[in-house]
Amino acid sequence: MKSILHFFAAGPDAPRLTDQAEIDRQFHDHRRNIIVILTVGYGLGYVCRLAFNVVKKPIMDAGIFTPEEVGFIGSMLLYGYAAGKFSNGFLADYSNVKKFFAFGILMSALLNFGMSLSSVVWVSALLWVLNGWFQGFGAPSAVVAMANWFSNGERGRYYGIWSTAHSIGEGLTYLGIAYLIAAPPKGLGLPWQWGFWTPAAICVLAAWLIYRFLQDRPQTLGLPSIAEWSGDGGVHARPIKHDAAKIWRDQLKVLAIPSMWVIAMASSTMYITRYAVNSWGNVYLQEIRGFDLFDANLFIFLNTAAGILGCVAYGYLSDKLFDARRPPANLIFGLMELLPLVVIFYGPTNSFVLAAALIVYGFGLSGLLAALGGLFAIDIAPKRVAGAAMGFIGIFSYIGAGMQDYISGKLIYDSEVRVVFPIGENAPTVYFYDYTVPIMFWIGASVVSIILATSLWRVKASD
Amino acid sequence: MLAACGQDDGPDFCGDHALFHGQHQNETAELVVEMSAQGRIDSSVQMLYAIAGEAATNARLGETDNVFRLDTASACSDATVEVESDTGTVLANYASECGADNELKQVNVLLFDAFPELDEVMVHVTTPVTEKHFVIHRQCERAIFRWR
Repeated sequence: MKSILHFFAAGPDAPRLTDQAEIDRQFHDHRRNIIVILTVGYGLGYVCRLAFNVVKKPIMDAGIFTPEEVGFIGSMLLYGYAAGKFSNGFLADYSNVKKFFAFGILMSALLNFGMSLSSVVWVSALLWVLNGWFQGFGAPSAVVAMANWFSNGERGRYYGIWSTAHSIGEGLTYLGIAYLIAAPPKGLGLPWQWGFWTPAAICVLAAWLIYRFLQDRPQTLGLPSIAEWSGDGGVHARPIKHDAAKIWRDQLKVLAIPSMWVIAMASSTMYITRYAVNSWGNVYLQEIRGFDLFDANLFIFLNTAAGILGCVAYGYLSDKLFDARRPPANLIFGLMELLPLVVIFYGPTNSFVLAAALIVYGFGLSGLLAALGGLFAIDIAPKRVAGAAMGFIGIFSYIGAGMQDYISGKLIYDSEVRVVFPIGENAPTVYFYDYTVPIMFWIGASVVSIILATSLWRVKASD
Repeated sequence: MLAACGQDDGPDFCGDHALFHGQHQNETAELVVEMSAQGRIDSSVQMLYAIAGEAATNARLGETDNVFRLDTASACSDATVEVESDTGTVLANYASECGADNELKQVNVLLFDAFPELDEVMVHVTTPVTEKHFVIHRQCERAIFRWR
């Protein structure tokens, strides 16, 4: 055990370089490599998280798993991710992130490969909860790497660049993986197993790139800290040992802030809607609207792509227009999320209307995601324990997302009607589902989320 | 039946069938099922007499039990059957009242047992919330969607 911990531990400081030109050159090269590799590596690694969403329908059509079982397996990833993001956040602070991050992605690749071999519910659920946990190596590693290599004054914009990795991953999955599985002429019509094999191969590549180009702390290369090099003093990313007890006490104080619980509940219900659309949306579009697999995933991609703009716009709007007050922006972005949802599920069946509604929905949702998923909590939490605040919100968010996946699958399965054609020993079966009740659940969660988020109207940032 | 289909045997017959089904779909038996929100199920089967002969086709399609079996929470009314003949073709209509609160879990379509001569059926199913169109072929384990 000790040798494993030693393998992943952050390296010791190397003798300090004295040539300032060499220090500058190394900082320049490493920082460029690191932001590129964090964005590309996280984006590629993200594909191993979403693969199951694309193959849900083919797996259900093949009669391998019922919607309830698919929902159960899907929820396992989210529970694993909730636990992983929380626990690995603490571990990443003490790790050599190039090894830690690469190992997580490599394990995720192996687990995706394992999923292609499994047709047993509990085996798939076990593989997928582990995948969630190993996926949880990524975000904390990336945040630690950014804290190590980018100063306080510039971290925001590099964080923004890194955030686009989510859309890179979603794009690769909802377009690339869907292309492999979709029937010709829009896709290659490969068996659903390719929906796991390809992400596994992509993640092996990502793990290698991360291991090759990501770096441990600057000090392990003989460089000064980023704060020292940039002249931008401030809070160091790593907890200082003699402050550990105080930090722990401050972390516990987060739990005593009532608004934090309201934000956690608001985020949890928002994540219900977010993951409902991301994980069941393409199935709904195929089952009820009659789109093929490729087009259905293309529509879902539109909402994730619009999300890039939504995140940026939310931050700008809430800062500039409302003087960093989040609740008014929450209400605006919440309505921009809710109204398109109604159009998507109850509006005209025209494809252009659907596409426009998904774009506006993705824009609005991402604003709420930025606020409720972290920003609002960091506003009101003591700044030195922002990580704990994020972890607290994250746990609630992903428990909500995980419960959603199972509940949605159960509700969809309860509506199942099978049309069966016995032919000797074969019985080709076509499944029909009614999404009326799940849709009410998804929209209802969105309404609750907006009410909760707006209820903190008078809450202002502390510190 | 339907020699055109038999000529299509290839290395991936079921995978490729959607690509050429359209060439012979006019000769294929057709099944339409419409489920209403009030629990009424209307169905029809249309097929050529060339498949099994006029007398046998009329006799088999005239018995609902040869064609459908519904799995519902509580029993549905006895289905009404109407068989209409045209030149070389038969159209059989079926109607069942199952009730709005009666949960329908499964529709068993027994055509392939009733007609050993039948190779494929083109199916259109409409539920209160969606509709699907597909082909069931005797040689294929799964339904074939999106034919051309």
